[in-house]
Formats: sequence, structure tokens, C-alpha cells
Amino acid sequence: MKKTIAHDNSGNSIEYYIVAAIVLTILIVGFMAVTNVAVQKDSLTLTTGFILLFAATASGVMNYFRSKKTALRMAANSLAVELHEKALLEHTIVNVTSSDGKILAVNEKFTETFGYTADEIVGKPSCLLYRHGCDTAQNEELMETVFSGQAWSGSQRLVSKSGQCVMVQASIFPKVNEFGEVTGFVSIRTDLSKAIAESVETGRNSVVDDLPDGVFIYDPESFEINYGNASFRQRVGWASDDHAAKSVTSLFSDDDLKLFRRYLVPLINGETRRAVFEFSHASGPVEVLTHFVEDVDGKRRLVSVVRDISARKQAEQLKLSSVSTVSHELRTPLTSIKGALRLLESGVMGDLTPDVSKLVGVAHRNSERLLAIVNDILTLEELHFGKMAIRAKDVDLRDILNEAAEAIAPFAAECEVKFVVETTSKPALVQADPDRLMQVMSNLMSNAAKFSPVGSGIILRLEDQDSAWRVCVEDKGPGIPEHARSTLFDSFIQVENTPGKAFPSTGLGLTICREIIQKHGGRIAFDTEVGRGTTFYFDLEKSAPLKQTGKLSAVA
Amino acid sequence: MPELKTILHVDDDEDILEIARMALQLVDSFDLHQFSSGPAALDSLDTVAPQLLLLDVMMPGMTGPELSCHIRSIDRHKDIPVIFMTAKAEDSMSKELLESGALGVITKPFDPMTLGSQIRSIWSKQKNLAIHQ
Repeated sequence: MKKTIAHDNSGNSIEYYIVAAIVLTILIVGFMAVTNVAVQKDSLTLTTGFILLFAATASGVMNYFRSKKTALRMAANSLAVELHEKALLEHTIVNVTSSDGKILAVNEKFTETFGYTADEIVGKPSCLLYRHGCDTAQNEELMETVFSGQAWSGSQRLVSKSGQCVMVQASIFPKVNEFGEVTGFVSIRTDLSKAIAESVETGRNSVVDDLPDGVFIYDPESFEINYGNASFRQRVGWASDDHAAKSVTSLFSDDDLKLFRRYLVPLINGETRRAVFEFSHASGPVEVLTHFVEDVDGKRRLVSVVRDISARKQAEQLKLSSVSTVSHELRTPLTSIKGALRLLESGVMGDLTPDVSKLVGVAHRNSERLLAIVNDILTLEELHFGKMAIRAKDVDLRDILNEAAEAIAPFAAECEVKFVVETTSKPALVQADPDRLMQVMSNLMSNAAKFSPVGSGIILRLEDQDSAWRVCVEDKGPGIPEHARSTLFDSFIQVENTPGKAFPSTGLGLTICREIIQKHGGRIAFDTEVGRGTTFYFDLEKSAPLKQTGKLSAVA
Repeated sequence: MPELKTILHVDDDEDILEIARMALQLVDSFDLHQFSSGPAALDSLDTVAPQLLLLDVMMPGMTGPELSCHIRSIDRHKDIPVIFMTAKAEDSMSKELLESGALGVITKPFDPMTLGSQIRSIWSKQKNLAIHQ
């Protein structure tokens, strides 16, 4: 908003005219005296005439300068007043309110700050401006002060038409009539949002800039980066001053970006408070921990902390590769042990006494358990080192759920639980490796069966999540305690003291699930409540429905 | 294609040989000839005249695939189908073995009660192939 300052200096004061008239009179008299003397040769009159002429000229000149000075002073005064007024209007937000809180008038700065036009806001309750409505302790105190006839001052958190937070310093003056009644208010406010944002940013940056972990702050919709600390800039190879207006999209490959966005969905929807995403950046393997923050200007932004996990990954791989070597070696003796026990158990070697049969059963079950661990380790190693190929094809998740429920039926019976399948009426197509998905389902379902109370039902549900299908395995087990949640998908982690049934597990099942789902470009997570149950779920991107290709040509 | 009867089995682990023997002779009734090394098997190849080779992959000296290669280089034995047995159950490995011409791959540990039927099922795959050819 630009204002022009008009100041009129063409008008002269009355004083100026009076003085000018006197000077003119003296001038005429002086002139007459001189001309008269010139005729009469009277030296006294001539001298008087010259004196009068001189006086008139001097007076005229002096008056001219005096009048000029007055005009200048007046112009300066007028300018000062207008500048003052301009400053007041540009920096303060003014509105007049009736005693019942209706806005009666606003200045330009008001409309500019809050985004309402005068027509929109005049007549509306001033409560509209309050972020948390009028029923707050601060507002109560304000009302009490102004209705007692005193002015109220303090800082306020208001809200603009677009919902943006506006931090102001306010002074509210009551208008009191001759009977001492409050008839309305004049509110004068100064917008502090920008100043606060700047000071907070400066403070935050000086602390965050030196952290060893990379930190970047960005807009959740545009993905535009507002801030990146030194460690982050170094990692991504940006010069110190060019992080502004860069986008998060430049940090990831297309596939990783897709996956990262998927991991942010529950955070953006408010289903979770933080999102952890691991991926291999060009600079090495990193973990990205993302939170939402509400900035001082009221805008919601994402803050991601990038942690270098190369050391952890190396240790994990070393552990896994040494364990996997041992595992290979274990499979050979296990073949003999299991084979021998199986032959004994089958009765081809003759009948066993009940006790011997029982002992053979114990040995056989435990060899099975050992084999399960070995197999899990090997699967994980294959997934980690990229040896396992994902043979993706169009898969209807409804079939996977039904088949998985069928396959687990014997184990469910053993655990005394029941699986209930809830699918959709339309096909749930995804691009996936059905064998690997069955492996994931089997792990999630056997966990659910192990931890569910006897007689309870476990729901296998298919949900439409717009661009993805979600498969849920919902149990009514004991829930996962807080301390175990963040490491649940890590290798060899088992929740201690869980009142599950006495079924063994390897502590690798969920790690395998996560690896497989991530290899499919999906996301796996869980919701849990201690004492109520847990729902594990994974999202896989929908694939386009199969085209009707008619009759396939016969394969020779 | 005649019914599968004679199998030549090579494995360096004596216990596994024993389990397999019981599985294929007691549970099933194959004519089974077992050897604990590649060279020993090669020596008896002519006498046994097997219909199928059941070879362990990881063996000291001569590995299963090396033995298979060797047998294939002998003209009169080059068409004997091979099934490998391996404790390395990796996808990539099975794929490699099948690509090198193996008829099938059985992973260890195997179930002795179903080993015979597993071998027969792989054998019939080869039979189908033969019909198509």
C-alpha cells in the first residue's frame, strides 16, 4: 500500500498580507516624497523620502524572507504530522468495536493483515479473530479490564481469514460516554509474527546448525526446503547459502521418493507422530526421522533428521553374513537329524513305545524350530544382499488373504483361534510376488495366532486407501508395550515377557516382512494398544485392472 | 519313458547317505547305488547304468556340478538326467543349477517320507518334456 503525502504551500497567512500592505504604503509615501523633492529641491524632504524608500525596501525584503521561512516551517510541520499518521497506519492495526464485540470499523492495515475486506469483517464479531475463540482466560481478563474503563495491553495470538496465525501486541481502549458507560472499544495492534519468526529462526538455526545429524525443514505439500543445517548441506553437497527454494524431491531417486511419500502419509493424516524411513542415499545408508512442527507463523512444516547408519548397517550385515555362513553349515546336520527323527516317527522302523515316541516328538519339534531360525536367517540374508528376486505380477490380494487363511488353518486350530477374512467386492490388484506375500502373511498371521487369547478371532481385512491397498491383520492380543515399539522390526528382537502361548519364534519374522514389503515399494506398520490388541498392516500400490485380452493364444 | 528304478546317489555326508537310503529303499523301493565322492561314482557309472543322478552340490574335491559336467562329457552317459540336492536354498543358486541343465533341485533338509515321490514328480516332468519334443 502506497500513500502519497499532499501538502499545500500556495496559501499565505493574513500576517503576510498586512505587512505587505504597510510596506507598499511606505513605498508610495517615500516615492512621492522623492519625486516632490526633485521638483521643490527640499533637501530635508528628499532625505526623508530616501529613508522611507530604503525602509520600505528593507522591510519588504525582510518580510519576504520571513514569509518564506514561515511557509517552510508550516510545510515541515504538515509533513511531520502526515508521516506520523502514515507510520501509525502502516504499522498498527486499528479497529473499532461495539460494546457487544461487533467490529464497526477497520483500517487498511487491518484488512491487509487479516485478509478480510472491510465489507467482509464489519458487523462480524471480533471473536472471529481469536484463534481459540473468545472463551479463554486471557479474553476474560481483557473483558474485565476494559469494562472497568481501563485500557488492556498484552500479546495475542490471532488468526487470519486463511487460518494463519498472527501474533500481535495489542492495546485495547474502552470508549466511555458522559454517563461513564462503555460504548465500545478501539483496538490498536502491532503485528509481531515476522519478528518472532525471525528471532526464533535465528535461535533455532544457531543450535541446529551444529548438530552432527542432518536436519532439514520443509513444506509438507510443496516439499520446498526452508532450512537445512550444515551437516545436511554437506551430505547433499549444497553450498552453504543455496538451500533456499530447493526441493526434497532432489534428495531421492524416483522410487525412494515414492516410498518416502508413502511413509509420510500416516504422519500427514495424523495417524502417527513420527515416521522413520531408511534408504540408501548416494552418501551412504541413512535413516530419516520425520516429525511435524507448527511454526510460529502457524504453518505446519515437516522436520526431518537424517542420521548416518552406515556403521549400524555394516555391523548388521557382518552379523548376518557370519550367521548365514553358520546357518548353511547347520542345514546339513539338520538334514540328518530331522530325517532320522522323521523316519522313526513314521513307524517304518517299527513301532515305538509311548515314551520313546514322546521323546522323538520333542526332538523333532525342536529340530523344526532350529530349521525355522536357520531358514529365516538365510531368507533375510538373501533379501539384504539382493539375492532374492521379486517376481512381480498382477496379484489379487483377495486371493492372497483367502489362501493365507486356508494355509494357516491347522496352526490356528492348534492355537485355538479363528481367522476371519474381510475382503472387498472388487478385485484388489497389486504388482507383487505372490510367494513372498504369502511369506509376509504367514509371519504376521502366525504372530497374531501366537499372541491372541484362546477362542478369539483374528481379522484379515482389505482396505481401499485410494492409491494403495492395505492388508490388515488385527488381533486381540496383549498389545506391544511402548518400549518395544521402535525396535520391533529389527533383527532378533522379541518382546520380552509377552504373555503369548508357548510357541517358539525366531525374532526375524517381522524383519523379513519389512524387507519383503519394502522390496515391493510398500510400507508396513502397526497400531497397538496395550491390553486391547495390535493391527499389523502393509500398503501396496494399486495396479491398473487387468485388461481383457480375450483368448490367449495357445502356448506350444 | 520307462519307470524310474535305478538311481545313482552321491553325497559326501555318510549320515545323509544313510537317511536317503532308508527313504528310497525302505519307504520306496528304488534300486539305489550310493557313493561318497565324485570319482568313486565315475568309476561305477558303467556298471550301475543309472536312469537318474542324485547329486549333492557341495562336496570336497569334485563338486556336484563338476561331476555332472564330467558325466555329460562322456557320450554314452550324456543324457542321464540330474537332480541336485543342496543345503544352499537360495533362489539364485537353484536358478543357476536349472539353467545349467539340471532336471530339478531338492533342498536339504528333505523329508524322507516324501523324498521318493518328490524325485518321481521331477522325473515325470522330464517325461512330459520328452513327449512334447
